[in-house]
Amino acid sequence: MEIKTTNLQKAYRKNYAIQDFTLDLEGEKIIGLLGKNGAGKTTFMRMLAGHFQPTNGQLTINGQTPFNHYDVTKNICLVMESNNFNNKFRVKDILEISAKFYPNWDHEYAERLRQVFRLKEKQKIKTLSKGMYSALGIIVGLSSHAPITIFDEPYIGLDASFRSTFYDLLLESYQKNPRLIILSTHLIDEVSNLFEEVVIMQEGKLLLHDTVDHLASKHLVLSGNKEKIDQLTNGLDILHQSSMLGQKTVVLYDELVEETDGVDVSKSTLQELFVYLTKEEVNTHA
Amino acid sequence: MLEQTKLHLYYYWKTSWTTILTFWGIYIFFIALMFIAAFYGSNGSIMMTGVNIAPGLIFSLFFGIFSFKDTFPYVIELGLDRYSFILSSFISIILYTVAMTSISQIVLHTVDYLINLFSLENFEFSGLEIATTDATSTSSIVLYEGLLYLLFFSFSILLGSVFFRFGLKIGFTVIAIFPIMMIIQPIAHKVLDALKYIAIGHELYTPFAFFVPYGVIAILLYVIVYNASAVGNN
Repeated sequence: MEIKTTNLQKAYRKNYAIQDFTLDLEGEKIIGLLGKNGAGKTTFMRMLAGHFQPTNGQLTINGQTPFNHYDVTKNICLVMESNNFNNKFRVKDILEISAKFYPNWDHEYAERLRQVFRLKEKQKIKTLSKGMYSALGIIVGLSSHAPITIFDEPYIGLDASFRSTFYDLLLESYQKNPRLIILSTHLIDEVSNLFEEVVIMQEGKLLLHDTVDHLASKHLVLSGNKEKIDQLTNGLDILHQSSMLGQKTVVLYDELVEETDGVDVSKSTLQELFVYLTKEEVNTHA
Repeated sequence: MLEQTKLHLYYYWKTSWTTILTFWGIYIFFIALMFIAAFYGSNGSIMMTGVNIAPGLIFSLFFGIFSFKDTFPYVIELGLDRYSFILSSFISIILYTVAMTSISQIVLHTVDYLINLFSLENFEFSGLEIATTDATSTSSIVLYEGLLYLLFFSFSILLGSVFFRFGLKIGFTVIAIFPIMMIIQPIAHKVLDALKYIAIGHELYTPFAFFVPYGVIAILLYVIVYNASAVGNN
């Protein structure tokens, strides 16, 4: 599977949700799609699934636009945080419908997951709690075995235990059936170990697309005496800094520091790095 | 396309059968109540008159609007394309028409049978034959009923698409156009003249005249839906 966007734009009247968005994704991997609220993640994912057209630019999946192309969209399963299912239905209806629509649907797996998440077959969708609704979305997403499976914050209302179960199931599902999985989340620390690549969006644009390993190797956290840190990092591009009681911590991105004697060197978590990178004053690193 | 059409019809069936069944359940229950009331009031204290098709047409007018928003965004999100949605919608409108006309005829004939069985004179329940001459054949009346269901339901689906795509303001504006048209006399005369061609009792009536509104509805539905977003304009 190859997803390619070139100068993609999506405008709602005069407001751009996505602009000049160019990105290439390919292969079978789990990709984290990160960004602050309003960064354009959901808009991008919905365009990927063919829910609406871009205003400008190109979006192709294996060379074909997803909008109005069933050959493309039948291989995509997008699970959003809400509005996935018609409230008229019961849980079993959703599973039956999904089985018909997704060509690679695994009925036995779906049934197993339904039991794992303790959903009753006959329960009406409109009576499901937020967590149960999310669980149903997760069941559909995982059981679809769609070559492109997209989860847009699918855990709303799920407690920590079930979220952990979801992450385990996601990994298990990916290992059994490798495919392109895009997971958009704000709980980055909980899932960062699942990601092979990370795409960070900011204000509708691509801020960064990199492998998690490369991202980790490209940054450095230096802590120590303020004067020593200032001396070491003089003239370097500092991503984030904080000082307290004569001690200073700086986060460097894409910078080389040869001499680190007398200072502590460590790494940020992906979530911390995301926070630093998406602060307004930081430049584009794509 | 065939695969998509089958999937859409399946989804349509899943969303609609309970609603249609509920409508007929309530309607038949109401007729039964009236029938019993007429039976026990056969001394003349209760007089019932009903026209079979009216509730069905009113139901169709509302059902289509809700049917669109109950199916379109979900089947698009499930991967179907809009062209197949349009084609499947036409098929589902025809299937709906056949189902509604058949049920309506069964209800009509069953009630007629019961009226004769119990010799009720204070309970009248008629079909469209009251708007026709004696020379009109039963098959023509049944065909006309079907044509009306087709017209009302397809128009209602078109309205549903307008509401979904353009929002409530434009939706209600479209609805308001019809009474406004009837206020402007030259337009009202033309509309009334045109209606003669689809009024079964009128000498100008021809079933083929229905193809004009069907064609207009089909074209408008295509124009509205073929590039519509799965996200409604609420």
